[in-house]
Amino acid sequence: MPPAAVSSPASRVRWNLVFRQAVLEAAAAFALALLLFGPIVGLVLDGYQIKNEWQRPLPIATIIAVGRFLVALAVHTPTGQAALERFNARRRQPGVLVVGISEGDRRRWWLLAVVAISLTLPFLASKYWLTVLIQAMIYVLLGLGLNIVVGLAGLLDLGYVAFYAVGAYGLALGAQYLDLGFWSALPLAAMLAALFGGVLGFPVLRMHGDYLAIVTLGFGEIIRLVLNNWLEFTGGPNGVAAPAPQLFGLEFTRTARDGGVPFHDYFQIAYNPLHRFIFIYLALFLIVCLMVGVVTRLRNMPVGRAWEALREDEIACRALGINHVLVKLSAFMMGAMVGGIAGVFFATYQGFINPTSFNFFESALIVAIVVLGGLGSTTGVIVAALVLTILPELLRAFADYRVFAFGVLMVLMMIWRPRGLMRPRRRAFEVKGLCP
Amino acid sequence: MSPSEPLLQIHELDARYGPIQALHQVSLYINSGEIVTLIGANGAGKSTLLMSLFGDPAPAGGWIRYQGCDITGLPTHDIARMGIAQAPEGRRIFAAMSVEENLLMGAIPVGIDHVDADLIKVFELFPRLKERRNQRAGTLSGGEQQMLAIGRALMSRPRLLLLDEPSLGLAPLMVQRIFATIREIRDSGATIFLVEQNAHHALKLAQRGYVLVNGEIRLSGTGENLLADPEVRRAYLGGRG
Repeated sequence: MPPAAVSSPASRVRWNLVFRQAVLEAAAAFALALLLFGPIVGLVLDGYQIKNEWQRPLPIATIIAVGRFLVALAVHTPTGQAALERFNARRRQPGVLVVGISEGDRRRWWLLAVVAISLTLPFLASKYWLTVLIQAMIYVLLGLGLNIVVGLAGLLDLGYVAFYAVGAYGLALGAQYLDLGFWSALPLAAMLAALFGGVLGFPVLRMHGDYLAIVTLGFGEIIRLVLNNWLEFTGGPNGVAAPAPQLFGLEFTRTARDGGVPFHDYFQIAYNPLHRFIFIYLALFLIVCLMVGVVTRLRNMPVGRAWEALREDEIACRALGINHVLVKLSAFMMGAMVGGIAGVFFATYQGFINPTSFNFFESALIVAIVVLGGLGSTTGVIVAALVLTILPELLRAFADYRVFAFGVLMVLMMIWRPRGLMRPRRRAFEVKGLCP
Repeated sequence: MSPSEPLLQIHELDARYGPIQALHQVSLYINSGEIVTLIGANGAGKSTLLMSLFGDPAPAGGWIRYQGCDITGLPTHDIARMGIAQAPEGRRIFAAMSVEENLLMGAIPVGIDHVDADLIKVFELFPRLKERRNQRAGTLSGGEQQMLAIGRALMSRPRLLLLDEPSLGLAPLMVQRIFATIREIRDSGATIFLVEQNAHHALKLAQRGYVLVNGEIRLSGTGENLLADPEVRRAYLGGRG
């Protein structure tokens, strides 16, 4: 409410009403917060006894009440009204947003800023945060890959972690048996994962919805069990070591191990163990950028559009001359390939892998990233992947409540944003020779 | 293909969904440049005939020849690439995609070489689609969605256009506009097979017509003759025999 408007008596009465309602809503929020957090935070298990520390939830409830009060006031200011209107308008109009041709320029600056921040971040981060960033990037890559399968083509794949595992083991076993380095294993492992995608996809892509989900779930478990039990080949639960990446034969170690030259010797700089992680991060970032570019272009190409059309109406697609099996297979293999690439990076960053890294929870997490991001939205998937990997690290102190918070987040999402964080955007395009 | 052979010939076609036989020995032909209509009540098998022509369900008996080639039992997507396009029943547009993208999907069988020119042609035929070309297709009205479905079918430069109940669920004014457009499309050289419940409009527009009852062809003849036929008048036009 602007100060000028408060002076008139009518608006002062209205303002009083708004204020009183805000106080009431804050009180209600306080009571609800006490009810919710009271048992969780207020009852402390001490040995075999439960102690009632009733004052502990009070600060939390106070923060919530004050927040609710401020929000209640804020929505009555002109900016708040506008924001509320925008929010509601989005909810009323579900589905996809068509972006005008000219709108791209404004977003280009955002993109530049994001790239600049992403490139400087690793040089400022500590080792711990560097590993967090690498993990986040791996999940971004996984999210982008699964987004092709689930978000664009609409095939619910609950065993996506299988392709992640194929990529990781492709690097580790390739190094062990075929003496492959990181860069030669990267394309080979990606192709291997795509091949696995094709082998799985061909028989199951005639299925729909739930049946497809169950078969892929089973496939994910089969891969994990084979890795776990084929002791002679994969090392079973003992795992295998994976080679570290090299830059044109330069090693990121203190002394040369595999007959190469250490990176720091070649450039005459002091040895820093962080170099290896910075290098992995930058390589990953490059791949992620490449993937974003490829997916964006694909969506405007016949193949990408066919994926999305197939998600909407398979019968119409076939009547338009689309071979639905081939199109689905292409999405499946493309997604599997990206998963494989993410797996290679995971293996080289960890230096050691075993089957426990590839359980169903990983698949569920990746699906959650895609769903949370808004099926089909590239930006949404990236944001969701960052949120779901970095937030748990920030909230280490509440690690015990992680799965609980995860569940609450999901429920809130389904209520407020049932179609994910971002709405998928579609580009308008120009027709030559058509006057508008 | 010999000059006397029709563009499409269906001979004693049977189609079945499991144990239920939906079409019995249906035979019909369509000459190049004609509008041929197929009328019949709900459940007579009209849509099944179109779907069966498109390979799904695959014909259980009989044969289909198109441009002198046997296309019986080919997969749906192969038939769609032979110059036959369909504006299916219920329109089946891609609701989450923009109008323009829907039209581009239609161009898949012919590639993108003529896309710009063909888009302009479709927009000339349906100026309303041009106004809404960047809008989500799901936000269009029923009549506009029907226009989009026809436009999408036209994007593949079809020699034979199959229209499945284009007037279904539309306001009377919109029905007249759609039928006027169908005539325009015929005048531009396409052959049209029109499946309709709206027998009056369809028979007035078509050169020839067939009447399908319980999966069998009961009557056939020119549009005028069928319009005058007492049985047709009683069953489909609400007239007194």
